[in-house]
Amino acid sequence: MHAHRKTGSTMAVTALMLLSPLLLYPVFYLVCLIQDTVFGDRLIVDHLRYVGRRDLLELFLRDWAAALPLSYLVTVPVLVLAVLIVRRGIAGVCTALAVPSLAVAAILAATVLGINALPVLATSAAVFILLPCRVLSRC
Amino acid sequence: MLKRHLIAGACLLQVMAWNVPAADHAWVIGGGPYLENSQAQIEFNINWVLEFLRNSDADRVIHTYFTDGGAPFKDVVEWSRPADDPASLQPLARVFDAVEENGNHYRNSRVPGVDGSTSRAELLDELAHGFSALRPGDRALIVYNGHGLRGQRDAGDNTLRLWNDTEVTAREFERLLDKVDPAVPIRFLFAQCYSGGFSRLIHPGGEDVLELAPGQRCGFMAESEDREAEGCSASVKIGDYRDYTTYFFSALSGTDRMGRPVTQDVDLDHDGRITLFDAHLYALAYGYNGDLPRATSETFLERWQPWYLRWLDTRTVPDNLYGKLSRIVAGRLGLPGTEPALVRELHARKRSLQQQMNRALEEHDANKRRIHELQYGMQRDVGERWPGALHPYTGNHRQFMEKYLNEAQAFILAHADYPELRDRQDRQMELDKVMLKIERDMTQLDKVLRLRRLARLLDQFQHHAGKAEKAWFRQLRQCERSAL
Repeated sequence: MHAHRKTGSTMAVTALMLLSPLLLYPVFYLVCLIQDTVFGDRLIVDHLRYVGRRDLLELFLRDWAAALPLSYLVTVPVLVLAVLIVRRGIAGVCTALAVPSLAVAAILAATVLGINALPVLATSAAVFILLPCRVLSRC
Repeated sequence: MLKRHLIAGACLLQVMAWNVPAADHAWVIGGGPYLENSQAQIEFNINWVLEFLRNSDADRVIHTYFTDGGAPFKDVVEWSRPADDPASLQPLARVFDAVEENGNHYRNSRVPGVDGSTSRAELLDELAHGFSALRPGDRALIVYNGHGLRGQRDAGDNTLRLWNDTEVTAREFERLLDKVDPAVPIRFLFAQCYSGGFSRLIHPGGEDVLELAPGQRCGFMAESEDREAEGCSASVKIGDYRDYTTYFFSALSGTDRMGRPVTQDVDLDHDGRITLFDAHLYALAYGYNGDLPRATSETFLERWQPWYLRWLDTRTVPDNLYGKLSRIVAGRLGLPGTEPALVRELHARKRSLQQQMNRALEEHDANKRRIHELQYGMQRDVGERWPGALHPYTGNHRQFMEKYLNEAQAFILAHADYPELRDRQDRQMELDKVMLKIERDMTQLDKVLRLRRLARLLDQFQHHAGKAEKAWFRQLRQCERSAL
């Protein structure tokens, strides 16, 4: 019974980690839309009204796809941190994050130094998907 | 002995080739795809550009390609309003839906020094030959004034409409530019509908990438890849034609097409020289027409802009070149000088113009339907009395034209529906002019928004772009900032 609950919880958290980054760009877009409409040049509304819905939708989808790698890079660590704090407390979190933090630092350093982005992104994805699994399996 | 002579001859030829002085070459290409769509307004523009190019540099080599290439056939149509009397057949034309055609006057083009036709096969062959012959030290300028179409697949398939109803796509044109020696700068100006697709000439394969093609290419386009240009509006018929080329070359020559001096400061980037880029900025700032032009460096900036900067902070306007220009245009339009009043007023005007446009379009459509109803009824009445009137290209029609034309036109003029038909058709032409004016006014407001956006974009680029991207941008700007 207890094992079932733990598996269900793990699946829910993993699903949250995989799906929530998808929402990051739409949320960002919504904030931009409000800012643009209320304070800005109303470019989005203008685009929608005079250029066309299809064109704007295409642009939105293209930007959304472009935003996905960064969305995962940002959202997954934040969620992992949140889950760890909830389940293991601050001290446990510090210990658990030491190794992955070093990995993230290495990846960021590689990116800054201009190393080819593709292996960097692949490594990042591997680390950020493996990390929650490792952490959650201990919870 | 013979071998020695041959070697000496070859060396001499080589030395002669090296000593050929570098030259400026201009390819001026224009005209419509077929007679009915080959308006005299395009011809006027081409002649004006040719005259200016010849006068500005006597040594410039000009290659001119226009419609049928100087064949002794009619290839230009000029429209003027026919007199509203039986002698011009206007009553008959009104009933048989030929009012527009009745005002057409066909003639042979009057473009001096035409080198060839713009028919696809001939033009591509000539351009390939001419481009291959360019040598380091030469410079090339390509000017196209005519019609264009939107591509089926993407903007790389946007086309130039050439004589005999043929076409060439932006991708195909890019392949032609590959024949040019990379040391030769190529500048281009495209003024047709959807000309923004030709901004892809600066990218390898004409693809939608940021990377620049080898060599030095840059250019200017009258419109974006998805908008019609002024040349597709009613103005191309009614004689009020002023497209991007008109303003672009006004800035360079110092006088407009009518010979009036340009009174504004043309050195808009304040670098002390009048360059092609200044001419573009002048058209943006002072052109009153339906075109919203763009330079390749601007489309490059738009292509570069990453997703996280696209809609971020659309309020501030940096005080750079584009920011200053946006204030010039806003001032010219009488928009408030301060925020947020400027944006509020601008959008209020846009909404008002859009409403006027919708009303004009509704009236235009309703008018068109009523005109067809009236024409149908009157054609039936005429046909009952003179059946030959309904069947052109027949012996009956010839008999009708020879024997009963005056009688039939008198009948039409006395018909109860004729006054309404005449008034509605005249109103239809008025509406074309009204919609053209609204379109031009809307474009002026769009220019302010676009210039504000470019100001932010340039600022973002200076802060966020990488070294390679900045180097490409500098290369484009250097090319655009060359003198004619």
